[in-house]
Order: sequence, then structure tokens, then C-alpha cells
Amino acid sequence: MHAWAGKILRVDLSEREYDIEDLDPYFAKMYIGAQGTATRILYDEVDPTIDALGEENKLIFSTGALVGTGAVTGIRSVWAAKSPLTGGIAFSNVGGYFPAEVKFAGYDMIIFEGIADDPVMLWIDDDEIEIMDADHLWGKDVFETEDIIKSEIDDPWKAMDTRIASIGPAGENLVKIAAIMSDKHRAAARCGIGAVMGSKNLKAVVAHGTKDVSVAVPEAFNKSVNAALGAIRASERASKVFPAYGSAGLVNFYNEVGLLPHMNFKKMALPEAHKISGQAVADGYLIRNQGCFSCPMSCGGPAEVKEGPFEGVSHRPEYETHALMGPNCGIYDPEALLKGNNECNRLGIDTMDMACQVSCAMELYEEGHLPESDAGMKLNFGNGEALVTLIQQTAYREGLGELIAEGGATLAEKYGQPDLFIGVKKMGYAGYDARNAYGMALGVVTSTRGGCHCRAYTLVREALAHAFGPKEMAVDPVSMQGKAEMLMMMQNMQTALVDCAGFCQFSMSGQPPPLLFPQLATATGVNYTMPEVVINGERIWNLQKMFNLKAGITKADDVLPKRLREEPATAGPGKGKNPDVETMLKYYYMLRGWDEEGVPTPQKLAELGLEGQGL
Amino acid sequence: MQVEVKMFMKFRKYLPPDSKNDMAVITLEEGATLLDLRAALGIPPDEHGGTVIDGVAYPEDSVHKLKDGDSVGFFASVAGG
Repeated sequence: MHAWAGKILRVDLSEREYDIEDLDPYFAKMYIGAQGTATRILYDEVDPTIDALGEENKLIFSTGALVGTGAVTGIRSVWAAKSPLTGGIAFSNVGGYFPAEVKFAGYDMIIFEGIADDPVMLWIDDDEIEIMDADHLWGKDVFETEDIIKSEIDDPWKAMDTRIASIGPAGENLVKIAAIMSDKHRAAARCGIGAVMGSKNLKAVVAHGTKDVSVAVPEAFNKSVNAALGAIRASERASKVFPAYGSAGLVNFYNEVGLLPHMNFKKMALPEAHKISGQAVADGYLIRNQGCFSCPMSCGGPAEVKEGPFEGVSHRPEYETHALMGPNCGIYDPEALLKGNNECNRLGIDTMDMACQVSCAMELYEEGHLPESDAGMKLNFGNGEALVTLIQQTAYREGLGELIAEGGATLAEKYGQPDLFIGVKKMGYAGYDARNAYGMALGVVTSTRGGCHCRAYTLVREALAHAFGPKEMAVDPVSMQGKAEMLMMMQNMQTALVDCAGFCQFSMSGQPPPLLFPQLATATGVNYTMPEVVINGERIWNLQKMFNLKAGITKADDVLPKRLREEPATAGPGKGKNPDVETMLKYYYMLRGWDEEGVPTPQKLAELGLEGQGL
Repeated sequence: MQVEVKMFMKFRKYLPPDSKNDMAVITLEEGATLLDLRAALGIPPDEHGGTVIDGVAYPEDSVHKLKDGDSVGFFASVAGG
């Protein structure tokens, strides 16, 4: 096989044994990699009704097909399982360097089964596999864990090349918004995937690899890589603006068009946003750029607060963290944001869900539902020190953190206001106000993993194309016309061609799909056509939907938060209106070949080669 | 008429001297378009980017007519999410 390593490492934590299996070429072709291959294995091997934190759940690390090939941004991979947060399918995307080491060691996937009786870590050094005791690491935060493991490697050069994925105290304490962190600051953040790792007593996975990853048609592959690199270099957006400001370069623009949420989605388009924008962090705090493996864009990097209560070196936050931990918590101090981001990374918590819980807590407090005596502190919007305290409490399940750690509306329900948790399927809502982009509203509601924006970035057409082109791509952000078709096509294509292949979604600003496809085809040697790849995405999407339906997640869960349905937009193109997601949803189900309840029909499943997989 | 401009990223260098908070008020003739505003600010045609006028995004070459009191933001082409 080319591109794929051709091997799956299956680890039985209960028995402390492992097996190495062959990756079936037909399976690889159909499900490509990352969330695709992980979805099919979860679907076949995990009963969707089990306890996500029990012995029967499986935790899968699955690399994108192109990881390690040198494809442009070919690094993205997933951690997958049944989610303890949503109860449905979980797959949390991550970049950095860890996935490449796993591939260089010779594995496309690692499947963890069972529960270790004591804390362990998995050590992978090419063909040497060892399940080692990790008692000395349990209780350590993510940064300490990586430092200790690296300090135990005698050869300093090898230590540098060794990459680690681990959980912090949040994952150990089964916090349902815990992340799996790698390379210290790269997060597989969403779905509570870190709690699954914690439930298995698996503290860390350490990978070091020296094997080659081959490509099928080297000359054509190199040509396709050079074409993509040339396009990125020629794009001011991809080669200059994005590295300079990161994804948080969007903050000011989205604030102006009413997409940036403020104060738990109560307000929009407030001038204070500029104080906490990507521009503000780049101007005042960024030390240098730092990229992921095989990426010419390098949007990350360390950022330092030199003095004061939030002093320390952090990592530049992404747009979502800016939006949700900043303005959506009424916080306009970039130093509080940097500290909050760092605490989440250090303790192993998803910044997005954490911030959604904090903004909810702040509104509960300000509206008089959550008394100061319960909070143990003032919890007013804008209180950066309260943000940091709540993150720490959540990791250790202390104080309000005990409620926040359960995720979803648990905290809001305790204080009688479940609708003040802004989320979908118990997952905190992404940082885009649905009232100014109806395609994104439908996208977040139909995402198979919860309140997530990552499955189809419709804002490329609903917002960015209006200002930055191409003009022919621009669509009315607050019209329902054509949104279901656009969304479905983007979901299918992005799933297969971007996520499963292992490309970074951010890179699409410089290398659009016509430049991605040749890299996938020439590296794998699979004689794909574009439509075949898109159908692969549709098949994966339908399997994820079936997993969720079997887990009990239904049409009743495909619903926009009440605030976004009923309280009209106060600014932006949708001012005075709300999206009618229910109407769009009916059409979306029909286009997908699903019945009125959102269940894939037997005909649709048969068309996708999934006969007999219905409810 | 007068419009408020908000300059972001590379467009900050086109702010009139003594501007504060990356903002300025620019006086234009009635009926002026976005292109006229770019010219008044000295933004060359090859300095590409997008604009937002009172919450709605427009391309850099828009002939959209401005009105008194408009707020206009200038942005370099951004991406991500």
C-alpha cells in the first residue's frame, strides 16, 4: 500500500496485550482515514447504547490517509469513540506532530479496548510496543507529563523526535469536556474524548517512528504538492494574513457582520471586540510563529503575558477560543484569554465547551439565578479571574466545576434555566451567531458530533466571499434558499476529501479542493474520481447518523438553541430576524434521502452500499 | 457627508495622521461610493481586501453609495474558523 502504512495496532488494556492487524486495502479506499476509518470501526464494533466511560467503549486514534506523505498540511487525524458528552459518535480532530510519528512508526490506527487496572501509557517505537506503568504520571498536568516522559528518554535527539498525546487532570477525573492534548498545545478537544482516555486509565501515548511513508506516483505527487504550495504562496490570505493573525484574524470581521457572539449570545457587534482580536494578540503578545507538520502556513505560536495576574507563556488561541472565551464571556482583556487558553491546555479541557459553560454561569449569576454563595466568587461577565478559577475547578470537579464537568445543560438545569446553555446535543455552540448565517445554523444543528462548526464551513460563502471573493461564491447569509443543498455537498466533500485525507481545513483558503484531490489520488494510487470521493463522504456521514440514531439521538435533538430561534438579531444582515431551521431541516432530510424523522431510508443505505444497516 | 472608517491589519497604515483607536472620520461629497472613499484614504487599487458597511460585507470594488453616518471597516482577506 502507498500513503497508508497498512497496519492497525490493537491494544487490549485489560489484558495488557496487543495485536497488529493488516489494514484492508478496500476498506482503506472506501473510508480513507481519520474519522472515516474510525467511524466504520466504531459502527461495527461498538454498541451505540453502551456506557461511554465503561469497558466496552473503544478509543481509536486514526491518522488521515496523507499523514507523513508530505502532502500540504497532511497531518490532521482524529481520536474517536462513543462520546460521554453527547452520547453519540465522537471524533476529535488534531494536528501538531504526534500523528506523523504514529505513521512513521508504521501504523494507520491504534484501537484501545478495555480498561487497564492501573494507570498506563503506551510506548510505540517503530516495531517495539510496550504498555508501561504510568503511576508516576497520574495527577500530572499535560505539560508536566510531556516533560517527564521526554526527560526519561536517554538520547536527547530521540527525545526531540518523540511525540506524546496525553490527558491532564480533567481526563483523569472523567470531565465530560476533557480533551486529549498532544505537543502540549494541540487539542483533540471536543466530545469529551479525554474522559474516554481517562476511563481506560490510559495517561499517555508516546510515539517515535523512523519508517518511510511511500507515495504511489512520486512524480505526479510532487507536482501536485508543488501546485498547492504555489497556490498558497500566491495567496495573500494564506501566506501572509493567516500566518500573521491566525484563525483569530476573523474576530474583527465577524464582529462587524454580527457573527461574533457576545455575552452568552445575548449581544452582537460590540466595539470592544477589537481589544481581544487576533490582531490584538499578534500585536501585543505573539513571540513567533509555530506550525504543524508539513504546513507552510504556521498559524500557531507561543504568546507571552509579561506581567500581572495572567503572566506567563501561552499559545496563540484559535478563533473559537477567542470568540467564546472572550466576547461571549464579556471578556475583552487578551491577557485573561491567553491565561484561560493556557489553563485549558495545561489541564486538558476543551476551550470551547469550557467557555460555553462559563458564559452560561455568568448569565445565570447576573440574572440572579446562581447565588454568589454557590459560586464562591463574583461571576459577572468580563471577570477573567473567575474564568481561570472555573477552569481549574472543572478539571478537579470542585465547586461549580462538579456541575460544569458533566457538560451540556447540567449547570443551567441546576439553576432552573436550561435554555441559558447555548449548545446542540449537549455540546457548546460554536462561535458564530446563527442569526446572521442560516447555512451555518443548519450546519451546526445537523453536525453528527454536536454543536460544531467544523463539518462544513458555509461562512466561506455566506460571509467571507462577500468581502474577499470570489464573488460568484457569495450567497445571501440570511436566506434559506439553497442552503440545504450547499450544506450537504460541503459536508460530504469536506468529510472525505479534507478530514479523512488528513488536510487541515484552514489550508483551504490557499489550496481549494481541486488542488487537494490530486494529492490524495497520486499518493494513495487509488484511481478515485472526485464524485467517488464525495460519495465516500456521504457514506461516512450516514454511518455516523446511524450510530447516533441507535444511541437514541433523534430529530428532537436537531434543534437550534431557544435564544437563537426566538430572540431576533440586533445587528448584521439578519437584524430583526431569526433563522427557521425547522423548515430548512425538512428539506435537508429529503435531500439526504432520509425520512421525515431524519432516518436514512433503506434505499439510501443500499445506494451507499450499506444494505441492512437500518434501524 | 461624513463617514466613520475603521482600519484593520494592513489597512491601518492608511489612517490619517493623529487617528486614534484605528478609527477616523472622513468627509466625502454626497453620493460618494466605496471606491471614492478608498481614493480619499489613499488606498492604491492593488491593496486588496474587503469591507463591511454597517454590518454588511462588500467587495473592494463595490460601487455601493455611502450615506452620511455610515461606518466602514477595511479588512485584509481573512480565513480560518
